[in-house]
Amino acid sequence: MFDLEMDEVSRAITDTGREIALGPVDRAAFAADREQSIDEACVNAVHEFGFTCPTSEAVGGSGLPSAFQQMLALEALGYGDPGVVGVLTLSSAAALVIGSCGTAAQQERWLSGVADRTRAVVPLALYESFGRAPEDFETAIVAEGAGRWRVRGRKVGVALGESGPAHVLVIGRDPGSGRLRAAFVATGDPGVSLAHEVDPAASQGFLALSQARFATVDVDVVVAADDLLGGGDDVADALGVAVARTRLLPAAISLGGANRAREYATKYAIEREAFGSSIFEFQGVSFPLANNQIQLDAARLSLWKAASELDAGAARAPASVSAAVNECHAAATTATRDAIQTLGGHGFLADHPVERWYRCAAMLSSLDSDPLFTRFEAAV
Amino acid sequence: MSISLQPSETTAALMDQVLQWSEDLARKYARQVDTEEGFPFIEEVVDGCPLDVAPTGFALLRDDEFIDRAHTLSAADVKNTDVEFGPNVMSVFMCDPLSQGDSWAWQLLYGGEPAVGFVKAIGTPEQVARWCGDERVLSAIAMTEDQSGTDLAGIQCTAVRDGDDWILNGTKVFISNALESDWLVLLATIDPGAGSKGVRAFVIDRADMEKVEITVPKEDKVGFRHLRNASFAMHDLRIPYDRCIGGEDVRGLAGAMQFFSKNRATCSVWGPSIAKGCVKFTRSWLDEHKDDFTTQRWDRIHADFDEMIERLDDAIRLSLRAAWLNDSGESNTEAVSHAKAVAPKFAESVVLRCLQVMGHEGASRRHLMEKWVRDVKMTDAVLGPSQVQRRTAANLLLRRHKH
Repeated sequence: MFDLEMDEVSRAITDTGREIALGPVDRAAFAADREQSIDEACVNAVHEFGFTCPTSEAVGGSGLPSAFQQMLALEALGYGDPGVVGVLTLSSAAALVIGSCGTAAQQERWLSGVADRTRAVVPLALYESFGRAPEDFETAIVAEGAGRWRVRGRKVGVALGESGPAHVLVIGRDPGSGRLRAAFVATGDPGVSLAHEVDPAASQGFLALSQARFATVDVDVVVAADDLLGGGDDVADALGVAVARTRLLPAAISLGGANRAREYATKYAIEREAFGSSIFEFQGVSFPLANNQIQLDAARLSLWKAASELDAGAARAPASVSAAVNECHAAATTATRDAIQTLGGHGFLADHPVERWYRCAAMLSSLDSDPLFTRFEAAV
Repeated sequence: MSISLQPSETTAALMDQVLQWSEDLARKYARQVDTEEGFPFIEEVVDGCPLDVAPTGFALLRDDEFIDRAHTLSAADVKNTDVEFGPNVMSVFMCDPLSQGDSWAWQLLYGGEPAVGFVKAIGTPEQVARWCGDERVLSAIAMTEDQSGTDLAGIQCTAVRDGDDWILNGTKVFISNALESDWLVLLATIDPGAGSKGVRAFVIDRADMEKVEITVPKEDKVGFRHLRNASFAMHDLRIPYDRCIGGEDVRGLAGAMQFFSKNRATCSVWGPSIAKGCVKFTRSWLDEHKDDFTTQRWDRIHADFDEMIERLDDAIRLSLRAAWLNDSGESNTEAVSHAKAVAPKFAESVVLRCLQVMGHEGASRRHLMEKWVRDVKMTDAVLGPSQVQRRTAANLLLRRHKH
């Protein structure tokens, strides 16, 4: 049955997310973009909301939300600033994967203390670039014999966050069966090379989200059975679902940021006068803004479809995930670009946040973009 | 005889040399000027350029002057062959390779500063002689006000005659190189409420600039960071009467429109030039990572590249047509609005796509890709944004079909 009616909980998630977005996130965003660190009050407010680093009650958390609710929450937060929320989400992304697929012992080991923030969650080494979706990952995790596993490959865009982590959780595949696997690897192991992609002290090391302290991780190590997430291939499907959900998170955040940019530009266009009237009266200005809204709405529905399929108990990651990810990023980059355009010369300046949101949308899209899902189209 | 959409052999050879310069020397300093947010006069860059004139300066030159400023062309080349001597067509051809390495450096060349062309367009002979000499100067144009960007009729800065002087009041914002320039052209109204009819253009020199209040010394902006944009307020700034360009009866907006008309076709190519460089760079990066892509993705990306180059060349051809009309003495208002309406947007979509093709690495400062993503967004605003160009095109369409 087709039904878009939100229940009370979902509405409350959106409302609370918006409050945090327009409060601590919005206040922290400008400085965070420049100073490479995020205001503590903002970090606390976002994490206490419970959707950027969700953990189960067993390890002191408030439980794992549904994928749909998590998308609602992150879109609402991203409305405040996609950069800040992107950093906090990417650097905590392993929590959901461990919570969904880890053994009880692994959850205890890796997630205890995360909920009350006495320790940081281990970074997640997920992305590989080159348009690869998880089913194409070349990072291999294969049985080495005697209950040991070899992990070999390269991961990019690993958000290390503030701390220098002792371990990272690497997502890979069995090259033969294609099953997804994940393994904890020690960064101190000689077979692990963890390279900051830019000098972490350098300002604005990336187009945006530099506070994530991105690193490239090269791995060629052998780990014990205890370090294989879930302990075996029984969790392969669950891992596929968790990874799919994790890929949707930046898309939801980018969607939120792009909608904020669209609204900001629309308000500006209504108030700005030129050639004798509000510039919104000119269809050359208002139609692109309307198109942005249409594209973002369509992308949100695509995102919700993918999330709801995950919630409906998909045995493995649905095909709709990659489509949703790419559609959200395409709509967001277009909307933020048009937002700058609407503001004219003002749009280029840091006095208005749209230039930051443009950089954030471009940055987030670069993490997980597959040329097979969107054809190049020259904007007109 | 048929038409030709190609540059002559001589021009094509010069374009190749300019491309080499852009990829070698402009790119060499691109990160530096972006990080330091300055516009340094780097002799290695200027001296190494096969051209001693910026595309925006071509229309300022006589034919023989152009030969002098295209170091690698001999007079014999020009005499025997086929250099495009329509300065506007030539400038569009040259603008194509100039920014492919990086877009900052060509503005160092003679005529890269915009105000000289403005004075040449509407100034008196005395003013042209005084302000438009051969020596390299850094100049700027101060048009934008907080409430008045594209719609220059809304200018509120005032100029009031007081004996042999003008007294200027008001605030200008986002002015490129305002504080670094030797002099500026500044638009102000002598008749508030009269709209465009009241606007006049004035020359403000460095000594005058020392008397203004700097409200923002350097704007923090997304791209083109080598250009420092400043905002300033004038409080009863007194300048000599002869600083009104063309004299009191010459409308400043006419000068602005002439300046726009001459340069809009050239500036339309700025974005596509950045984007072509970006495609070339991405192709080269891909070649080093061919094994990392599936055949299916590789093929799709390269089909996309072909499409990108087609669209960028479309934009450049539209610009060339507009330039050719200008050189032919015909109105190019409609043609240039078409070119400027599409070119920056084509370019933006290409650069963003290239970033996504490179993935996460493209967003890091190890490469210039992230800079080009920021820079290319600026090209739409230069000399009128695409929305305004569409408005012009639509108005012309309406006028033609109504009568």
